[in-house]
Amino acid sequence: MWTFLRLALRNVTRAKARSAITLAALFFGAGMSLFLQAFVIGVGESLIDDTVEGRIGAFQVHRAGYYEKRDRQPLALDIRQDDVRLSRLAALPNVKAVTPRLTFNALLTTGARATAVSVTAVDVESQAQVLPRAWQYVDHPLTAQDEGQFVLGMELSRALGLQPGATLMLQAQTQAKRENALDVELRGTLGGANPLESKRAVVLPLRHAQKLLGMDGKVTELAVQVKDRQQLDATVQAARELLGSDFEVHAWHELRPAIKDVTFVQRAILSFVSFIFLVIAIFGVANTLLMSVMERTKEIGTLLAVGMKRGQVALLFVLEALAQAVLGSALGLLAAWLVVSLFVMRGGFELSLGGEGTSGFTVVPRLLPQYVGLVLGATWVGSVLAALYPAYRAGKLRPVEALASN
Amino acid sequence: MSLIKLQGITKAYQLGKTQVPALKGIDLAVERGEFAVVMGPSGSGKTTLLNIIGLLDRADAGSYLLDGEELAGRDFNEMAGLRNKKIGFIFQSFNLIPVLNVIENIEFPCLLRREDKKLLRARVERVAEHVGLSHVLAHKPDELSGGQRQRVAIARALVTEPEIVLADEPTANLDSATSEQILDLMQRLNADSGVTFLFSTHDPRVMRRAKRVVQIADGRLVDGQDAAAANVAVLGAPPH
Ligand SMILES: Nc1ncnc2c1ncn2[C@@H]1O[C@H](COP(=O)(O)OP(=O)(O)O)[C@@H](O)[C@H]1O
Ligand SMILES: [Mg+2]
Repeated sequence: MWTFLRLALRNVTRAKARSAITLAALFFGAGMSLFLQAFVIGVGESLIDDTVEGRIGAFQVHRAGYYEKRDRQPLALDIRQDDVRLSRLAALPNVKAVTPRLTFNALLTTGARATAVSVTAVDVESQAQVLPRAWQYVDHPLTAQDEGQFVLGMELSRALGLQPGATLMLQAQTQAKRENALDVELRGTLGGANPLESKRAVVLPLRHAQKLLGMDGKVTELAVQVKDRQQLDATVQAARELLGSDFEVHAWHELRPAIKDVTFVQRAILSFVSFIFLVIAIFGVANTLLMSVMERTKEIGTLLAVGMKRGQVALLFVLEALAQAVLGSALGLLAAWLVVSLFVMRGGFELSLGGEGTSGFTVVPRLLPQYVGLVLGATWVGSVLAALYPAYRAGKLRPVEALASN
Repeated sequence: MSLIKLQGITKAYQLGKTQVPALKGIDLAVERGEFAVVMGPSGSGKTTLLNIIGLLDRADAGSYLLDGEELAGRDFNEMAGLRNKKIGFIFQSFNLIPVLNVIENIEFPCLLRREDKKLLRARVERVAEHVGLSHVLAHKPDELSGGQRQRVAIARALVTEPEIVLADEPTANLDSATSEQILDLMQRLNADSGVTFLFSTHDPRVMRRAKRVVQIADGRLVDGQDAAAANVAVLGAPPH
């Protein structure tokens, strides 16, 4: 075997120009595929991190039946904050923190204009544990002391021509179905990067909302953060068992299936693009190898004359392709790794998904071992497949004819 | 028993729709230790005959005994194995493997049959020394002269200790001084170790050294003459 491998390696290094082209194709194919994968994985992870650590938590708890009616945000399906089962939830091994929230629809009134908004009322202190990134797109975050202040989506804030410090009125129906209103003061704006998030978002301190809705000590949902997201499914299951049939528990991907779909579609598209890169690389291998077989016909005749068998001649060409694939993809991996490392060192790069005025979110590209394995494996297997036809052509040459050629 | 015994060997090439007969019934015996030449004009069938003896090609009909063993009708890979074991080739254009150096070229056929590399090295070096290549063992073919390349080819043909070495016009690409040296070498190898050589040529220098000349014309052997008679017939007078 070493005899063949040595011959194959020497042949690869002999035809320098041609090997360089093949190697460049493989390098480019494997390198681009790897970088694209790293990029897509980075985007997907950022999107998920943004959702899980900035918006909804790893999973949420509602009263049974709430999720089905969530569009109407039924205040009747409430959760008592002093329910003992909830303290047991916080004690589950993988649970990092729990924060109570109230979500409801309201009217925001300034002068003669009233706008429908979607309010999330948060407990600023415990939210910091559950959603460390909650305020990352907010210019002036709420603090635990800001009773009557609120944060508004940037687009709506601009449309209404509001400045920080402006006083508005928030109107809503209480839990007991009476109209109620409270004054609120604009503190900051929310420049969301996630285009799936509502532009009519309002964030309000929890106690203020409870006052407005007449829901002291009551909330509509609990957002929960976990220590290890890999264990999320087991933790969700444990929470379901703990809380029983009065409550329902949904993981982030059940609450925001669109996020999961987006990352899935991105991966599918870019996997396809990487596939195209690989196909180009592999055609390069097949083409140059076929040329090599033609040029080296007489040499193949010599190999046959001194006793090489058909299969061994074919093997020689397959080994040449494999040697190039291993070398080219290793160089591609090195390049992709260097580029990815550079981005990681710089702390990732900004990616803007929304329109004007929205801050982008930070993407840190990442090479996952399983994708690296997949791309390298595809390059190698593909090159071997690409070599089969040229190798077959070489192996079926008849010695007299091969020797007679030039 | 003859080393090689051909009986009624025929071979025709398919050229488009017409058959070109190249060998029209060859009967030939070659004895061990011979230093024999097949001689004839261009197109007479010399290469075709050597290819069949060398198991590079198959005859259409006839019997081919090598060492008493019938070899007609063997399959391709069997022929490859037999070539490796029993036959050494020397080509007109040397046919070395360009990416291998001298020593690697010489040992290559032995590695194909999985000989132990360490045991092999000593033998390869001995053969290389025998053909006068000791000082260029690490050189690649493109760093060698024509004569040196043909010496590598001779060493490669001999290292497997074949039954017979076939040389199709071995001096056609060499100048006359180098041709003489190469012929000296082969003659010496034949005399010293009794290796059987069969050449094809139309070079009088080669014929002059042959112990036996077989004439071929238009796909048939003209006559089984002995060397002296052939030399007289072809060259007019024997040398010396
Ligand atoms: N591959 C081939 N296809 C068709 N005809 C061939 C082929 N090889 C040889 N021939 C013919 O067979 C005859 C013998 O050729 P060859 O054995 O090469 O003669 P020599 O070696 O004596 O010159 C010639 O007529 C030649 O044209
Ligand atoms: Mg010829």
